[in-house]
Amino acid sequence: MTCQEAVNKLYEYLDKELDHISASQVEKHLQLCRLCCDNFELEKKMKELVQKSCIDEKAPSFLKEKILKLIKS
Amino acid sequence: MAVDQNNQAKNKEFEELFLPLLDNLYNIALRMTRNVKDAEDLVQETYLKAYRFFHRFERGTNGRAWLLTILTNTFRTRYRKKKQEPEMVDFQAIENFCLADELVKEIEASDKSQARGAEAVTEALKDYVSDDIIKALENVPEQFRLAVLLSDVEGFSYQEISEILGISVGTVKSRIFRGRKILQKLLWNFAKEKGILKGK
Repeated sequence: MTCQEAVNKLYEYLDKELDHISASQVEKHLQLCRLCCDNFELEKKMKELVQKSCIDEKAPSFLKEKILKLIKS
Repeated sequence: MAVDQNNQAKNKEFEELFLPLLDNLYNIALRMTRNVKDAEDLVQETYLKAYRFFHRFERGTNGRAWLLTILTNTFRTRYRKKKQEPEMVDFQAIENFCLADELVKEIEASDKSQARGAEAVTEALKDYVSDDIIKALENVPEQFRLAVLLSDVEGFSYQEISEILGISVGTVKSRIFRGRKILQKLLWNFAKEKGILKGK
């Protein structure tokens, strides 16, 4: 697998969308190529950062009460 | 009396299925509307619609996906035109943008002796705080932002996202790709502005 092929499949690999065979081809390339491996590490980290940044907020309690009230009315 | 009992059972089921998902919806709504008031309204309207159409919910299917489908549809019809989207960034430049490359270049230029490669790159990412990520994310155009949120925050598969957004899996892929690249480019710009990168 070339770097370009790996780059093209990187997101699908990261998002666990690849079948077994393609995934292991990407993995193999990542083990051999430092540049692609760096790139993958960063993409993985970015995905985690986005997730972490967007789960912090708690819905205000009045919102829950409002919804419950709407349901019961 | 029987009607009352039916209603009670329905309410109980609705609450048990969907109220635990309130924070999930609120977080997505917040990132989409970019303000607390609209996020609250959006979530409330979503629950109201979900309740009204509860009979259409197929039991045993993914309730979170169902609620998020309602939320994104509501968002699109109601909030889309309300706010001007931030100015579109140059697409050509974004397609090829790679944050890893830029960071490696920056790190290498600032300190030759520093550990390079993956470690250095992930180290550099630590300088970004949640606020930076959120600010950048909120500047990613809606359609791309939504796809990225559904994948990164909610962990849906491309197939599930395609069903939620009513678009093909191929389109999901390209929206996620573009969304992430735009996000990286914006973060890179922030880093330059704020001078959070070493050697700046």
